[in-house]
Amino acid sequence: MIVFFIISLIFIPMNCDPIKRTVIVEYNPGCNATITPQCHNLTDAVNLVHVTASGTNDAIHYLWSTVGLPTFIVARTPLDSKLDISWSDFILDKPNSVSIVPEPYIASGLTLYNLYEFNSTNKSTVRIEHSASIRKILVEDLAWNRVLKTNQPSWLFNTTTEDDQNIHNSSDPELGPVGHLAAILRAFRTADRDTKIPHLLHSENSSQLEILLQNISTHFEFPRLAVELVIASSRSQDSLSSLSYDVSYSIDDEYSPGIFKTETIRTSNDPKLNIFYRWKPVSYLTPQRTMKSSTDTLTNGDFIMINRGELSGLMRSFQFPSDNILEFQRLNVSYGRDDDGFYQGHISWSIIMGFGYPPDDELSFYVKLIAVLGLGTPAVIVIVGGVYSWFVRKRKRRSEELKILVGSGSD
Amino acid sequence: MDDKGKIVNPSDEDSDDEEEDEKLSGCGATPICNPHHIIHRFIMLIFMCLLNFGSYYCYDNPAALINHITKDLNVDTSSYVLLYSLYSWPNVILCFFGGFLIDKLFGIRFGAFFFGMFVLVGQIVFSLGAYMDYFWLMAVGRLIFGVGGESLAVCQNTYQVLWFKGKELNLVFGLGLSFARVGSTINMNVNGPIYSLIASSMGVEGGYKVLGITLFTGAALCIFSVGCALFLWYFDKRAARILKRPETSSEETIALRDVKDFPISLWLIWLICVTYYVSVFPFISLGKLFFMEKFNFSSSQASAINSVVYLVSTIASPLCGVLVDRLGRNLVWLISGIILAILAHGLMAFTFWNPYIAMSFRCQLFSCSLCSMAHGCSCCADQSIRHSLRFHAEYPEFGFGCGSNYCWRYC
Repeated sequence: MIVFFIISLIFIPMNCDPIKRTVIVEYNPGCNATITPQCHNLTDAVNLVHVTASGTNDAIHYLWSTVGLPTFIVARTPLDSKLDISWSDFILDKPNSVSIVPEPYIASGLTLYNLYEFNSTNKSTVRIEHSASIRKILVEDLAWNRVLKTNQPSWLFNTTTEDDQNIHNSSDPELGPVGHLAAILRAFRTADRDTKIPHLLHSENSSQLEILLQNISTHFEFPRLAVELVIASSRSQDSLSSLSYDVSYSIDDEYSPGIFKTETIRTSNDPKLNIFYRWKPVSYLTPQRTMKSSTDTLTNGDFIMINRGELSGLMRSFQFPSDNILEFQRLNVSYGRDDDGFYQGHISWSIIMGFGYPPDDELSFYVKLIAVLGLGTPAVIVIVGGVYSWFVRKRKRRSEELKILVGSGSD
Repeated sequence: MDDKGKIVNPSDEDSDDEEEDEKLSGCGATPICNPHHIIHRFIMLIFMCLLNFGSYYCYDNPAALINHITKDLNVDTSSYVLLYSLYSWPNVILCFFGGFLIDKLFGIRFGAFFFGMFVLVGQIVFSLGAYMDYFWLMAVGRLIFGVGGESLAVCQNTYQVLWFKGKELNLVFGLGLSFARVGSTINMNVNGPIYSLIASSMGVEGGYKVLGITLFTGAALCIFSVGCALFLWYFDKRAARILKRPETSSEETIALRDVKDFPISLWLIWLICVTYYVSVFPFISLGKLFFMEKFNFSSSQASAINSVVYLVSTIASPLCGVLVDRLGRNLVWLISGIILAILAHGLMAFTFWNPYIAMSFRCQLFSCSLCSMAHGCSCCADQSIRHSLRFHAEYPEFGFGCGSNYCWRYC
């Protein structure tokens, strides 16, 4: 009975057949080069990648664009839904120029609104909120390169920042490598883990965004970087806020050694209407992600409202579902830790964006087996040893009693 | 002066004993310098305990400076663990020959000095390796240190058995252990501040030169230990002359082939000792990083909790020695300690409870179990107690060597 219970603990939670979506990717769909010549540009390109992940009774649309501000949208729609773009309006930031027909059940988006460099005065400041010297690095209306498809498959959006554009143009060889701001996007068809640490777990309803800040030129003595994100969400009339931020702790760091926290932003408490943004509070200081090159990602979860008018690109042009109140809120995320040596030319950070239940880490079969063996073996030895020694002692006592009886009987 | 410490007028000595008792004059006539008197033996005891102080201080130097070693020398944790396993591997062989070397070849006095010099040279080479940023040299230093370290502990035990008899031995062993743990505790808590002090006086953040100089302070303590060995050499030779100590009789000669005569219960005790040590020392060697990452402790807080086990056992070991002596029931102490240790590690692995709770459970095992095992050893092997003590001290090193490596690889 006990053996069966232990075996069931190990084997039953293992997954049955994983759900698979069919993923179709389009680049600049319906963009006519005669009307919009930027469609085919290699540099200063108009980028819109549209991914449709179709399931059995719904579809998830991902829209990734660097027109205006780099924006990444997740929308859950009925199965047969199509993207409708008026390109000439979209390029001019006109509202509702990008829409999905029929209207999505739920949609949300994330925009990289600002990039900041701040000085870590007295060297221990790690949050941008605590720093007195902050410099804004513009990320709006940059000249992005045409998106590259890598072999994962993932989609690399790449640009140089304005500062670095000037450096690049000056062609002085002593100025070092040119700074890049890049975003790598992947849409998933099934639940799995990322190949790079922290091996974020994703469901079949999610995509992954990796932000790369490479060789950004810095002005301060102890430079650190921070990003300002804007998240679009909707709420019903009677709820107070449309975004919730929480931090969860888990003993399981099997896939992300030394990282026990997971941070999540949710747009709704109802999983059927929820778009989530989930990450581990870790970023990496070298292109090869290693534990040694890791540093912290810090946010305090304080959302500040922002007007839609201050945004550009897909956030302004996309037609979000109209039944609820649409809100745009911004959030600061700082990169750094006390003794990490400040910004050294590379930061990479991954977020999972998706619909529904955010997938939770579970202890793997291997770890469970070791725990069961490690705890079970001494327990079994103690029980068996205890029972055996009790049995032997009882037999001894009985034979001694018998001896006494026989001894007294013979008197 | 007789053994009980009463002053006897030299002029009252029997003329028959004149040739046997050496006339002591000057300091020799006072209790401090008279080997018959308990005060002199107590002073010798202090020096015997301090003999190992430097060795135990330096043994845990890597654990106290783990974050600096990995950062300044740019090595990963699996290379760091080499510093511990290289200490242990020489002792796998030495446990068989160390006793023979001390008994037959070197004698206890030269043996203590000889192995003390190995400890000193090993620590100097280790520090030099750090100062010059040669990790391989540090590894060589630890290897040399390892040859001397445990053998020096055996020398200490041998001195203790020479100078103290019977019931005094329990207290003396406990005191020796206490001094050793004091050394480890001081090391854990003091090395971090020393590193910061040296760094700020050199005007740098850190670096391998700072690390090297920090480790040289440990070498200074090893010089002190060698000084104790020389001190003991002189006074032991003097005491042997004054007390007319007999040379080791042929009955007492220990041979390697005696090993086959050890009862199975003694081997079981050593097996328990190996597995128990493997659960403690590799954990402490990596513990600082664990506490920093899982419980968000600062460097100094993590060092402090890592040293809690040593600190508590400094006081608890002699007390436990007396307790175990009075109450007996070795196995009850041992089993309860082991169960508490399993609980402690379970708490730290599976919960986020304050780790001080778990570490206090750990202390019980650490303090009482060694006393119980030593007591058990003496019960099982009365005649060859010296040889069994040597085995007892050095056999666990085999476990350390394996334990450190497996701990990193699989944990």
